[in-house]
Amino acid sequence: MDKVLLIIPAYNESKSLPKLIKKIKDTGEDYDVLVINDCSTDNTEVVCRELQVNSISLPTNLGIGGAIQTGYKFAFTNDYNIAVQVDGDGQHNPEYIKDLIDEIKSGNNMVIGSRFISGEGFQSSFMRRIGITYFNNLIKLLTGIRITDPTSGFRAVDKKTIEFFKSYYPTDYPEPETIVLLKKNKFNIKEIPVRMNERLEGKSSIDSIKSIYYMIKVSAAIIITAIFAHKEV
Amino acid sequence: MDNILRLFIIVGTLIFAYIIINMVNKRKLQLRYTLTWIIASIMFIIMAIFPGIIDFVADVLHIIEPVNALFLIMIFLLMLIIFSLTKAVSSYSNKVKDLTQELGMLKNFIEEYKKVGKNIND
Repeated sequence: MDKVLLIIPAYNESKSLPKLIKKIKDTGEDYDVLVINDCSTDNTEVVCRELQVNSISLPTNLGIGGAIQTGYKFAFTNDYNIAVQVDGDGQHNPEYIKDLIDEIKSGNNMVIGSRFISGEGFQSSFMRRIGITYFNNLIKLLTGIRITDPTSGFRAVDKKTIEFFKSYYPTDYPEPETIVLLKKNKFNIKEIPVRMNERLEGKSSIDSIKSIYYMIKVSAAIIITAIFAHKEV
Repeated sequence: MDNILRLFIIVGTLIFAYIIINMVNKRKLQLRYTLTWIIASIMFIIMAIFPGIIDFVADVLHIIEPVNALFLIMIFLLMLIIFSLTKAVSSYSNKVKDLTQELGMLKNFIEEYKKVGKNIND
């Protein structure tokens, strides 16, 4: 039996976490849940305790990359075979976790849940879709693989990738960069269709002013990773 | 180079170097990060005492006014110092991240351990 860890990064998600945890329980699968509370300013920590889910409360705010890497370090230390990232804001439907895990079991190193393959469910805003198309093409150009939803944080990884991410994970806006990084290190990546929801509470970590910084930073990260092909292990 | 400017650089740099070395001595600054400043100070003093160096640099780089060569050298040294700081910040940011993650996992482990202990005692 494969040990599966769900890594749920959460920053001020006290309102959406109870619904998410309930949905995970409703799947009837025996997943271990780990919430990474990234130094939230609301009562996320109390909510985790009330829900009786295992949680790590970081003493300082590390941002999404540092929070998720904590989950991978935990998964590595506790000898998990599969780790699945699920956003704490309720955008990702836990019913698809099984599909992601099935693809890991058939030998993929990372499986990404894409909202654009079937085109069903919440499709993100127009401006974000332009950004996503740009990253699709950039990744295609640099690595030759077609990823329809490179910014999706709904992903499952196998043991080899857990060990890889334990030693290096990008600090901010990690999703597109990790695709290029894994590809350049000869990992197998697969996408499967999922339906996503519009976030119920809270705001996206990327607002209009930050989006320009986001585009430049992620582009630089992708290009540097692709050209210099840094070997981590 | 003008004598007043040379005197100004020498006196100013000596005062600056004295303050820095004093702070290192009082353990307020780490020698590791002040070494770049001390080396820069020594270079300024050497250039002020032997202005021929600046004239030579200006000549080689086709800079008309030697004082502009002085500015160029100063900017170059400052950039080196700032770069060393960028490097230090990156290194600390990584260390703080690793420590934060480690501390978070340790806190989690202790909480879980306490729960298990409680169950046994009951």
